[in-house]
Amino acid sequence: MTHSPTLLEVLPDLFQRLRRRGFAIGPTDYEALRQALRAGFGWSSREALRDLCNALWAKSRREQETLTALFEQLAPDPDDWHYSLEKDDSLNHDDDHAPTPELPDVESKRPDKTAPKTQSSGGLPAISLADVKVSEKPFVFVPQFPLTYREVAQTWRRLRRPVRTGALVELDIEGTIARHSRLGVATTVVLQPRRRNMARLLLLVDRQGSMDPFHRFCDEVCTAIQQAGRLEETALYYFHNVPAEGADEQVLEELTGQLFPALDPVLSQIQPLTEGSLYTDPDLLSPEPLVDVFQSYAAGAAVVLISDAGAARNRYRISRLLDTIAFMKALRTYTSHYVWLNPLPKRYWLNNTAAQIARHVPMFPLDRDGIQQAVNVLRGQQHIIEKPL
Amino acid sequence: MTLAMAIDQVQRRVNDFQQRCGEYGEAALHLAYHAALPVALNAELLHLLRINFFLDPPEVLPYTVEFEFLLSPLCREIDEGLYEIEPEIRDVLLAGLTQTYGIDRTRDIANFLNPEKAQQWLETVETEISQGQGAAREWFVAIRQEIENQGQLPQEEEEGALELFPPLSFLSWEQQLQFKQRAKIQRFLLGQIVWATNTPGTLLLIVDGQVRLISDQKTSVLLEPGDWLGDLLDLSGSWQARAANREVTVAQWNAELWRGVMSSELDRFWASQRIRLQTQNVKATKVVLWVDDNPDNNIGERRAMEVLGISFILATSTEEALQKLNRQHFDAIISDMGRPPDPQAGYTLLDRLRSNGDETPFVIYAGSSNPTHVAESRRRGAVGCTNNLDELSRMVLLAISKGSEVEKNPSLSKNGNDGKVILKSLVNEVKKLVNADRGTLWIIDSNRDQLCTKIQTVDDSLQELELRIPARAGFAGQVVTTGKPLLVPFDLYNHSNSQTEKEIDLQVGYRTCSMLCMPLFSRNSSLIGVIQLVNKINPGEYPPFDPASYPEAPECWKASFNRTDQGLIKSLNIQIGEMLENSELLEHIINSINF
Repeated sequence: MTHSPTLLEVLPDLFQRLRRRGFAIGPTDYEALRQALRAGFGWSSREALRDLCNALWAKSRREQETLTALFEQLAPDPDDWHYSLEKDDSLNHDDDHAPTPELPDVESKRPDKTAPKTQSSGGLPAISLADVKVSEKPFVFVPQFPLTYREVAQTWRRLRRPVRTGALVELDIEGTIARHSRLGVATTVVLQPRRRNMARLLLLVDRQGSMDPFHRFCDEVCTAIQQAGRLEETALYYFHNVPAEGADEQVLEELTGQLFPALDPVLSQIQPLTEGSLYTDPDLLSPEPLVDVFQSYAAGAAVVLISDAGAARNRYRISRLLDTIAFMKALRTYTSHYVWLNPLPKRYWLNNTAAQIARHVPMFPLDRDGIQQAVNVLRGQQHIIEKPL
Repeated sequence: MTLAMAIDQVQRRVNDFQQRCGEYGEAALHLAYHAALPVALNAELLHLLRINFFLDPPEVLPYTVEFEFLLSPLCREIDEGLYEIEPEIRDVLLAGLTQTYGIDRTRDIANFLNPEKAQQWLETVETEISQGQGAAREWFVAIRQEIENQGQLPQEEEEGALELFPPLSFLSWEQQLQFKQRAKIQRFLLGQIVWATNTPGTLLLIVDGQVRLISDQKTSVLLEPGDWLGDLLDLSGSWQARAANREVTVAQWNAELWRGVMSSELDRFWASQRIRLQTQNVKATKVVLWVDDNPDNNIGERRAMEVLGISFILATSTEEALQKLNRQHFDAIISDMGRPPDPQAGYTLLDRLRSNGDETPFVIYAGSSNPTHVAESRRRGAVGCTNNLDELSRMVLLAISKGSEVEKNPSLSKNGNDGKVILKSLVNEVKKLVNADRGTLWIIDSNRDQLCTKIQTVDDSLQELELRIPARAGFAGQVVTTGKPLLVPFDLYNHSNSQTEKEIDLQVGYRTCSMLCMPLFSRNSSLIGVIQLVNKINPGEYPPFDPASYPEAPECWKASFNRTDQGLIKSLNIQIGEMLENSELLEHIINSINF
């Protein structure tokens, strides 16, 4: 490392930036790069160093893309890329790395202030791109969500219900020994079926409207769960705001007089509601009756709802709350393992529909801790909520 | 949403957003600046902007700011997942972007709008248009307009690059945007009234063409593109502005809008414009009657002579000419010769005038300069007959100057110092405008390669001292050499080039502390002098300068001129230069200047 002060500036900065972008790298990874440099790798050219960083720090193609863009941004110009021993040189390089281009011609050729002249020309003038400058600075075009694919996948792998089913292929040592000692003679070994993860998952994702800013993020999370969760079955359905609508609003009559009423006094009177549709596509174009989906996928499965629950717009709508509770009651008839994941952090849940829903349904923010807790609840861990249904 | 959202409403929304984002409000606003560049945006683009510009210190924004921005009142969802920022808000945000980050960042952001695709697209259209398929006219016009509009955004003042001229430059950038939007472009045809003191309510900027401002005192001023006109000038007397070209374009504002943005700089600007128009007025313009049945044929000639300070009134027949002559005095008459059905209508008019005892100088501008025609016209009492523009203007000028010296303007000819008086008043006004203690007008005496002026000594204000310095000496000389304005802040004595000033100070008993020098150009852009303003007066109560304390700098002058002062003088400079150029004045001046 002492060979090149230039690297002293660039590499720690690059390392920090990568960590901020969710790269799973630590001191040992940094040390690995130092060792590689000491061993003589990555010195031949700028590209060689970049490839070395990629090889040691980037664990996926996306990470490589990010790292490459950041490296191009931070590292000095290719022309200045030589490994100087002098400190001064390195500083100069650093200053040079974002040279200020000259002002574009448009500005220097501003019309004379006193004599603006208009001229009518027959047609439209030809377009010229000669003066158009396009920035050549490399940028990161890989999205950077609060949860990485890896984090989601790792967490969701913990959701398992191992059940031995199928052909007898695995040796049951315990069973064999027990049988031997019981019979007193050598017999054939005992076989048992292989363990399989029988956990099934139903993902219900809120789309459009206030969820629009989170579409990509939610897609990313759902994809990670589907691909890497190793579950028996993962069904994915979409809805808008509330999966079921039209709960009997008569129960609300008791609550008149309150500005922002809670549903606690009438909670028991709310009837389960299965009138509604879920959509198989994210554009909400192909509906399927809610009951059918419940019957096919919800029974005994883990159910995850992803929705902002009205927190993004920070509104309190009693009808939305009522519909949601009625829907959850219907869901409870199929399964007791359900959680709500909210893409907004907890501080946004105050004083809106989300706050009320969170009193009745286990709701977690869609971040690393949130999904951990959610999976814990789905695995059967106790989670205390204020007013269970 | 109304078309033009009030500027304070825009500002309120922007502030709301900033406050909603709490501790990272400022960075969030900066993200909004970035997001304003594309015409429309979606969540993905906003996300990319954030992770590229707002993920590393110094400005770090959390993921949630994205939805805060998209769902805030700054954005409007125009389609599934597609957002737009209201044009007014977008203007403000973009102005913020250019002010905060400059052009490089703008170019960087443009990179996110998929440059390759944009490039491809533009290339396709380019070839289409070159092949004559004008299918995509609309977007092209829209983009061009957008680009032009954005060009007017205020930018940081860079060396001569983007200097918005006063009075617009005195406004805050929000106001500039508002004024830009409220301007109405109006067109007037030759002779139409553009503005008048009896129909007030507007303020105008002449964009194209010339406007003649005429007072009821029969004096007038020709206004050029870039000149301002209207209620805020508070012209005394009764005035009327008429279009002096076939088509004149002006930008027009409601005067109340401008009244709402008073500031001392603006007041001073309007004052400078008023002084300009009203002092120019002292130089009474000559009015000439041009009789021609086809006035359009002589537009070029008239324009050429208007520059010399002559204004024209047109008549298309002998009868009309006689009517106009009865109503009004003219300094000279130009007539053509044949006007159907009379092949010698020029002579007919001349004869009728002379027989009435009217001796107004008469020039015939006809198809011939044949000596026999010239002789005949002279015999009948005309100044001459010509078909040549140069000769015509010479004849007219000669006739006018004779007329004025003999009878028309006794005060001017007797005193012979009118130019001096005007210049003195002008320089005094300039001094007041910029709060300078002294103003000196240096004239280049090219015969001796010197700069000369007369200044008053401090001890005896009546005593005048003529000063002559080499044309390249001192700060004034530096302006002569470079032809560029020069601004020397306090303390000038610390400046390496201050030797000449020190010498002059010792001669006259003065102490120069700060200085602003501006070159004066004639119409043909040759340098004719330098206006030098000395010692910006320090606002506040200080004892007056005591020559005995030399070379100690007195408190009252511990101040420096600024760019605004420079801009104000610039607007007056053309005026002074024009007056100096008037050769008969220049002679007086070189002989007897004193300011």
